[in-house]
Amino acid sequence: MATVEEQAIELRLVPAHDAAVVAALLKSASFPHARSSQPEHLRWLCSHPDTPLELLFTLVQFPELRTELAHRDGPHELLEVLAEAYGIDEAILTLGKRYYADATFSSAEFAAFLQQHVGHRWLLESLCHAALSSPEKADKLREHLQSESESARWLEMLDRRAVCDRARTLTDANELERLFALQQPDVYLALALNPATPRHVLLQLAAMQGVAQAAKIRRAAQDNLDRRK
Amino acid sequence: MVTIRKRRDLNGIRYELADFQDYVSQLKDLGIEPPLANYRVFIASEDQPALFDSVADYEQQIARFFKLSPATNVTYQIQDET
Repeated sequence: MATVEEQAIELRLVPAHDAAVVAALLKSASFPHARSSQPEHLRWLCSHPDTPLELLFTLVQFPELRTELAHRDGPHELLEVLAEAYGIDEAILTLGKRYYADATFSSAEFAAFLQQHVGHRWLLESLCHAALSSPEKADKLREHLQSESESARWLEMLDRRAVCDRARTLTDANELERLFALQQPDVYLALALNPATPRHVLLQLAAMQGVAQAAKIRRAAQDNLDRRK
Repeated sequence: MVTIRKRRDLNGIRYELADFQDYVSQLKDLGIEPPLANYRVFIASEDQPALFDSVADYEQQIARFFKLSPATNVTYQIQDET
């Protein structure tokens, strides 16, 4: 385990045309450790919000740092390298959810990403629970799942997600009552959060006992009722 | 709160952490990865005019380098010991 070193390392700050002080200091701080291959001394840079892209690509050369780097939200180019060149799961997951939920990525781009990561169980499970940006992407995901092994399990997960989305957003009282009759805890929770859920359904949800997430359902339903007072 | 010491001499200005171990502990307590090395920032006298002209908030940026606020919830003060 690397130890903390008290003796100071001096970094000279010089004026630069772009006035990027933090980036300049981070690069200076990295030089001695990158040159002498001390990845543990570079670890703190992986999560630094101001680490410049060129330095991030230096850090990616160290296998010990790749998982840490993959926990970043970006930049996108970094995550692509971590996912495609090194197969780092966290990066694959972050990108997959981004391609699925972000409307700036097309359904074709999303489908291509899925094809690059066939059989990635963690990715598929995450996507089955994730928010999406369009019905076209849901269709692409469904198509892809049908070609996977254990497709029945994945498709059931996706269907349940779709039902919860409807319970959370529908406004038709009859439809909401039909969803309540499914007696599924995750659907109960979605109904508890929906401002259009009929009052008598909310009163039952606010008294819910003996099911998974019962406390969360009761709290959500009571908050919903309180907002209507 | 983390204290950054500011010391001037004929050669320039130095900014360093007053208590490195305490700084490391404060960051770790908040789940922030600290540096393993104790860095000190030096601005040479000959570089000061150009730097001060081009970067108004350079002390805030030095604090940001150390992962201090506003980038994180770790507050700091700069103690001028000139």
